[in-house]
Order: sequence, then structure tokens, then C-alpha cells
Amino acid sequence: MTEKKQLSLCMVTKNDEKHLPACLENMDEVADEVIMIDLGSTDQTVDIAEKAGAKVYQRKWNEDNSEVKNACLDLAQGRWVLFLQANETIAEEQLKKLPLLLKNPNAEGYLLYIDQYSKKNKILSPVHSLRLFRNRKEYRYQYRIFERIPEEHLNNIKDAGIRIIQHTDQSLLNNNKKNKLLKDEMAKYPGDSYLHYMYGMELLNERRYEESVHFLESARKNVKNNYLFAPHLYKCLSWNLFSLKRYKEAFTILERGLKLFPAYTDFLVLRGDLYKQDKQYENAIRDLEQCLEIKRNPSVSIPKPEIHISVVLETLAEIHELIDNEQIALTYYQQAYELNHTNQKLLYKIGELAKLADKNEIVENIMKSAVEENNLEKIMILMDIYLQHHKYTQVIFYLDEIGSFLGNKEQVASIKFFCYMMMGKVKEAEVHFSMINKKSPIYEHVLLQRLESCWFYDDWEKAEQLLQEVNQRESINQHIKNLYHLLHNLFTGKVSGDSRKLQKQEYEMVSILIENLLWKEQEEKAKLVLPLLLQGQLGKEPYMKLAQLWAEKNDFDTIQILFKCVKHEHQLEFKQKIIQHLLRNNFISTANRVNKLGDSKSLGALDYVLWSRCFMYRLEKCIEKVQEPESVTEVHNTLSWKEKEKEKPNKALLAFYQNLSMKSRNSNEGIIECDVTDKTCAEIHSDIGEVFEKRREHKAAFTAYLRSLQWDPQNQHTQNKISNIFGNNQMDFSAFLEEKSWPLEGAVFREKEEYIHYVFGLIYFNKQQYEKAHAFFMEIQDSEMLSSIAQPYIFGCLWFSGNEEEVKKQISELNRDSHVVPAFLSICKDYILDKLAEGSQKHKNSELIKEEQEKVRKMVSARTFFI
Amino acid sequence: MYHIEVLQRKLDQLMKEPDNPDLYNDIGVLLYQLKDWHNAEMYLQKAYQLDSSNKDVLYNYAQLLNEQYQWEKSISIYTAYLDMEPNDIEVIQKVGNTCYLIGDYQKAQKFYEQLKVNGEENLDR
Repeated sequence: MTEKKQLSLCMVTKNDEKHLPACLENMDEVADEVIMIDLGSTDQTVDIAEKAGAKVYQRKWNEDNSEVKNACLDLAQGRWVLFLQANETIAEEQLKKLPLLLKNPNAEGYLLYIDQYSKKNKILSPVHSLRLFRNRKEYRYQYRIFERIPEEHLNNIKDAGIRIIQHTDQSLLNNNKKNKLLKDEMAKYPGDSYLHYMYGMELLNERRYEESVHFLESARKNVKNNYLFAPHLYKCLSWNLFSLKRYKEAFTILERGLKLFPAYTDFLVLRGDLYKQDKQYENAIRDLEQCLEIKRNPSVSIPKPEIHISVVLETLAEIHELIDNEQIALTYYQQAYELNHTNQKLLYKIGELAKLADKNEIVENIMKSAVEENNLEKIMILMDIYLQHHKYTQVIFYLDEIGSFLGNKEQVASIKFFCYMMMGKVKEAEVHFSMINKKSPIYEHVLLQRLESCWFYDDWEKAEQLLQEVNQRESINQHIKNLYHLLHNLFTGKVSGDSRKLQKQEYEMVSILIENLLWKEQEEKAKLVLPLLLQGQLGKEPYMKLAQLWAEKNDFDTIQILFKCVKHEHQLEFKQKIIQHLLRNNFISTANRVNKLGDSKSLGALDYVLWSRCFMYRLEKCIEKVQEPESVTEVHNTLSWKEKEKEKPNKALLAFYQNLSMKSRNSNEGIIECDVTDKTCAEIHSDIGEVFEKRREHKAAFTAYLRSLQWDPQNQHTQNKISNIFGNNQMDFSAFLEEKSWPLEGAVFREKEEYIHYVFGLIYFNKQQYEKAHAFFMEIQDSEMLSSIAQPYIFGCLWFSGNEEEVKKQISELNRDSHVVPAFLSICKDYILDKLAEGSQKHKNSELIKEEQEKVRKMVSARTFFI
Repeated sequence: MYHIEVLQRKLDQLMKEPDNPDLYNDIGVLLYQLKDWHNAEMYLQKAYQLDSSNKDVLYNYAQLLNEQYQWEKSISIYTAYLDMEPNDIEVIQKVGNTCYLIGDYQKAQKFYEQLKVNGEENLDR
């Protein structure tokens, strides 16, 4: 008894001698038999197949794919059949999975996805991925074109995890013929969702979006949700609508798709893209992160989503970049690049953001690995990034490292010439310049750079000579020669301006020249050339790039000129980018001036950061006015109460506190630790307040907090507690305060009346009612010690209500040793942090605000604020 | 409405029994419930004057004084109450807390000690 064959490879051929040998060799080990139906080849196809042991059958081509494929199936004897085209192969390591798949008793068929290597990258239906299935007589193809085994006959389809490589795009039929056949089939099977879907896809591949939508929509109306192509249909339809800018309809289709096929993450990616388009960045991030989450736990459902995880990561990076979360964007770009090394754009983005984040080691590490891998293409991109970042030393270092396998020595010499020239090492530059043959194709480019170097170093005589040489070179375009003459004349003052419009190539040359001049700290020369770039209507990007360069020079006037060149609809984006750049360089005053350019539209999260920086900047200027200790006599002796603040409680209070906390623990009312020996009076009373608060004994809690504040009058936590309790029942607690049943203790307040004024001052201060707060604080100015405690709040009241000049005046009379200044700064810190917290609430994904919060916290907590 | 009707009835009754401390106490409590603190205090004070050994009167009067921030006075009335009801842990705790509020930590601590002893005794039983 012969054993039944396991796998039959089925093929339909016509004049496939070019690709067939590779395909047959590829499948030799795996297929038990090869069934080939040839449609009348006139080349060596049949001979090749027969020599390889295939069973070849001749058949007439009746323009019916199903007929031929079903004939294959009738002849196949294996338990399983695999359909491949002659131009397809499967990678060796993937082929190894095949035997195991055939042993799975729970599978009736497998999807093998197709990677097209042809130039015409078409959208393919997952239906065409069903290439491997059990050889059963009920599994037969339907339709003359875009043949398909109806899924109602074929259940338990699984993902094979195998990809077919399709080397060229080949078809027995041209597009017109295909479409005609498809239309015939549609007439034969009216209302067939599959045929409408396929026709819609064909139109989509031809970019006939409007017509495509019609057929895809009609397919969607009739499709059953268990059809293999259903999620793909929804996706194509939404993508199509997206391309037609019919965003609302696209959104509705995506919503429906998501509801029906929640594991098909492509819907989330497309919806994320829609949100991005609509500037709903938080929603976009949410969708894309959800997509990543689902992809981390892949489901077994088919068809698999097609959008690669690297695309999701790249989109996330782009969104975070748009909302100025550069750090997160950088991380996502890195992750995307890890998964897709072929995408050069990612590498450039990593370079750009690593520079902004001052993380050069990231590019350095990629370069090291590229050198280890001898990956020339990657090395060249990284060199380009280094050159863009003016990292000339690194470029020279790596050129020395890898020069041997770069091959073209003149190219190496030209790069080194440029690096040395920029670094000001003229002699070394000239050595490398001399290594380039005048007949070399790169000579002219280097010659122009050499001429530029003469402008950098004011070598006008040499420049004249080189200009003559440029003139004599026939292969240099006349417009380039004219441009270099004009530039030379501008630098030498022979002309003062020119109204010519630059061509794209000229524009790029002048921009790079300006960038290099600015890097060489030659702003004046750069300014002479800049007007050349302002003649034509450029897009926003070039102006923003230029403005960023001038932002690094803190040059408001030039930024303003460039701002005026930008179209109205791009001015906000311009402002955002440039302000951020200025803030990164700590040019706060200029950033504030840029903000005032044009319309006063919200900058989003950046509004809060700019506000914070300006606030701190003005504060810094104010504090500078504080006098040195020796220049004024001590105004307030504030040490006494500062020391009292640390006073420890007596035994009785400690014992009461311990018993109270023990009682609370027994009844689970409080969470107070037992070790109290280090606690101060203020802390003990504050803890007692917490216990009472948890027991909902609000008056007792209020009293305890009041007492804590008597020991530590500037404690923000206690102040907040008092304000909160007071706010819940203002009448009652006002009466309570006025009743004065509570005793005073501590070293600061001697009169209850003063303390009441202080407490009311704080309450109104926390409610941001600065005028009222100011009035209360002013009531306690009699005592020297008390006034020093209230003074920071008085400054706060004045400052926060816009009377900064008065604070400046009063602060200039203070001694640096006075505690008033740090206390005032601490109050300001809380004020800034409150405002930033408000911003963080409004812009939940803003890293910019989070970074600012961190910065403010660190600056003040380290006592390195300004003094 | 219910409180006011009862209050009216009690006041009528008081006309007939002007020295009845229970009536004063009841009226004080009703007024307290009606948040008429001032009159509640007057009636409870009168009840206390008429019968300073009535536990209910002591408790109610001390409670009212405490609510009105008259902490020192409330402590002395509560203490008289505790002489009669030494195991009322709720009141012991209340007095302890009130002593804290007036800044008498020594006394506050003593009451909490007493609370601890009472708690242990309860456990022993």
C-alpha cells in the first residue's frame, strides 16, 4: 500500500521559463508532487517542469481562472494543496514551518501573505492569501476572475505565519480585460459583495477613488461579517474616503469596523490618522497606543491586520513631535527604526531629535553598530546627519575608520576638505582639496565650497581667483555662476541687494551658506545674503528652518522678518516652533516678543511653559535687586521663629498624640506611624489634624491645623488644609475663628487678633483673592517678626495682581540674608506649579509641561533658584 | 413641624411645673434640634441649676457647650457626668479631645490613659 501524498503543489503556467526553475527548486523538498497546468507556453516552461518531475497537463485558456485551478485540484492527490505562481517563492526558514502546519487536525486552510517585489505595489485582498488548504472535493473555486473558494464552504482558516515572495507582477490578463471579465461576472451575480469589493479594489489600485467608493460601499451593504475579506473591505472603504477627504464618512466606517472586528488593529491606526488630521492628538495617541497594546498580545483571528507596528510607532512619534513631546517622539522613532531599518526618514528624525534633546550618544551608538555591520548606506546617512549637526570631528574620525571600504578616495577627500574648512583648519583643508583631480565630477562642487571658505575667512583675493575658475568651468550652470558672482558682490559690498527669484537649487545653496555662516558666528554676512531667500513665496518649512537658525542667535528682528514671510495660516505653527527653540536656549524675552507677533492665538501647552519661563525671568530680574548683606543693615531678625519652627513637643502632647493615633489605628481611622521622637510640634499638630479630619471632626481638625500653623506659619500643606476646611463651611469657621476659643502657642503670634488676620490673609491668598488677602496681611505689619512672616505673602499679593514694580522697589531694600526672599520664591514656585498643573490637566499628553514642572520643582527645592 | 408642636406642648406644661428640670432639659434639647443655640443653652443651664445630678441634663448641657466652643465649661460639666458614668468611653474620648483643643495636653493625655484602661477592662470582661 502506498502512503497518501501529503502536499500537492499546484501551478498554472504560461511562458514562465524565467522564474519557474527557482520556484520548483524552492519547493522541491516540501512538495510531494507538482501538478502544473500549462496554458500553451511557447518557451521552455514545459521542459523545465517535466525535468523537475512535475506532472504537466496542457489546457486551453478560456479566460476562466476558476476552471483552470479547479482542474488542478481535480488532478492533485495530496492531502493538502498549495497554489503558487511561477514567479513566487517562500524563504527557506519559513518553509520549515510548513510540515507542522499540515499536521494540525484543527485547520482546514491557511493564509500565506504576499510580499510584492514588483514596482506596482497593489493592494491585495486577504482572499488571495488563501493558498494552502485541505484537498477536499467541496473546496472549489468560483468566478472567472479573482477566483475565490467561498468561505461558507471552508471554515477553520488560520494564519500560517508564512510570507510568499512575489518577484514580479505577472498576469495573464491586462487591466482592461480583467475589468471586462469582472463586469461580466458582476452582471451574472448581481449584488455579490465579493465581486463588488474586488472591483472597488481594482479601481482603488488605479486611484479612481470616487468610483471605487461606490462599489466598496455597495459591497459593504451586502457583506456578511464572517467573510474573510469583510474587515479588509471596511478598511479599504475608510481609507478611500480618507483619500477623498470625506473624513466624517471615513470615521463612521472605521467606528463600525472597530465594533465588528475589534482585533483588526488597522482600524485604530486609520482612526488615529484621522484624529491626527483633525488635530485631536490625544484621541490619536489613545487609538495608536491601544493598537500597540493589542499587537503586543496578538490574537489568532484572521485576517491579520496589515499595517506594520513600525508604522504605528512612526505615527505616534509624529504626533508627539507635533505636540512638542520631543523626548517621547524620539523614543518612538527609535523603536520604529529598530523594526524597520530600511526607512531612512526614521534615521534622520532620530538624528534631528537626538540633537534637540542633547542625546548625541544615540546617533553615536547607531553609527558604531553600522560600522560593525559594515553597513555603508547607513554610515553615509549618519555622516550626513553629523554634517547637518556640524559634528566635523566625528565625520573625520569615522572617515578614517571606514575610509578603506568607502572606495572613492576623492569623495573622502572632499568630505574631509569641507570638515577641515568648517573647523577653520585651512591648511589641512587645502591638503585634501589638492587631492581632488580637476577632472573629477565632484571637483566643481568642492570648488564652490572652496570659494565659500574664502568668504568665511575674508580671503577676497583668493575668492576672486576662484570665481574666475568657476567662470571658466563649462559644466557649471550659468545661473549658478551668476549666483556666486552675486554672493561675492554682496559680501564685498559691490552690490547692496538683488531682487531676483532663486531657483530651488539656488535656494538650497544659499540656505546652506547661511546656516554655515551662522555656525561660523558670521551673522552680518548671513544677513547680507538673507534677502535673497525672501523674494519668492517659499513654504512654511524653509522659513521655519531659517528662523530656527536665527533663534539660536537670539535675533528677534530677523525672526520678525521671516515671520512676515509666512502665510497667515502657518504663523501659529511658526511661532510655536520658534518660541520653543528660543526657550530651549533660554532666550525668554525674545520668546515673549515672538509670541506677540501676529494674531494672539493660543500656543496650546506651550502657553503655560512660556508663561512659567517669563514669570521666572521677571522674578529673576527682581531678585537681582536684593542687596548684598553688608550694604544694608539687618532688617528683620527672623531666625528666632525659624528655630522655634523645629521645636519638639512636650511629653504630655506626645503621649496624647500616641494614644490618639493608637486609638485611631484600633478603629482604622488613621495611619500614623509610632516613631514620633523626631517630629516637631508643627508636625504633631498636623498629624492630629489628619486624625480628626478622618473622623470627620472638622472643628477639632481645624483647631489642630491652626495650632500647627502657629509653629510653622509658612507651611503650604497646613495652609491648604485650613483653606479647604474653611471653604467647606465659611460661615461656621469664620464664627469659630472670631470666637477665639482656641489658644495660641508657639513663638510667633502673641495676639489672637493678629493670628486671625494672618489666617484670613492666607485663606484669601489661597483663593487667589489677592486684594482681600493683602488687606489682612497689612493689618499685622506692626510687629517686626510678624511682618517678616507676612511680607512674602504681601509680595505675592502684589506680584500676582500685577504690581510687580512695587515688589521690585520693596525687595531692593531687603538684605539677601533675609528669609523673606526665599519664602517669596517658594510662594512663587507653588503659584507656578499650580498654573502648570492646570495646564497639565488641559493638555494631558504634554511632556513639555511635565518637563517644565520638573524644572521648577528642582530649581527651588535645590535652593538654587536664583540666588 | 413635629418639634415645634412638641415644644409648644412642653412650654405649656412648664407653665404648670416651673421647677421641673426634666422639662427644661427636654425643651433645651428641642431647641438644640431646632438650632436655636442661645435659647437651648438657657434652658439646659436652668435644668442644670435645678438638678446638677441628672446625668441626661449634664450630658446635654456639656454637649451644647462643647458645640458652642465653650470648651472649658463643657469639660467641667462632662467631668461631673463622668463621676456618675465613669465608663462612658465616648464621653471620656470627647473630654480628652476637648482638653487638647484648649491646649491642656496633660489632661488630654490623662483622659486617653483612662480610655485605654477602660478598653483593657472591657477586654478582660
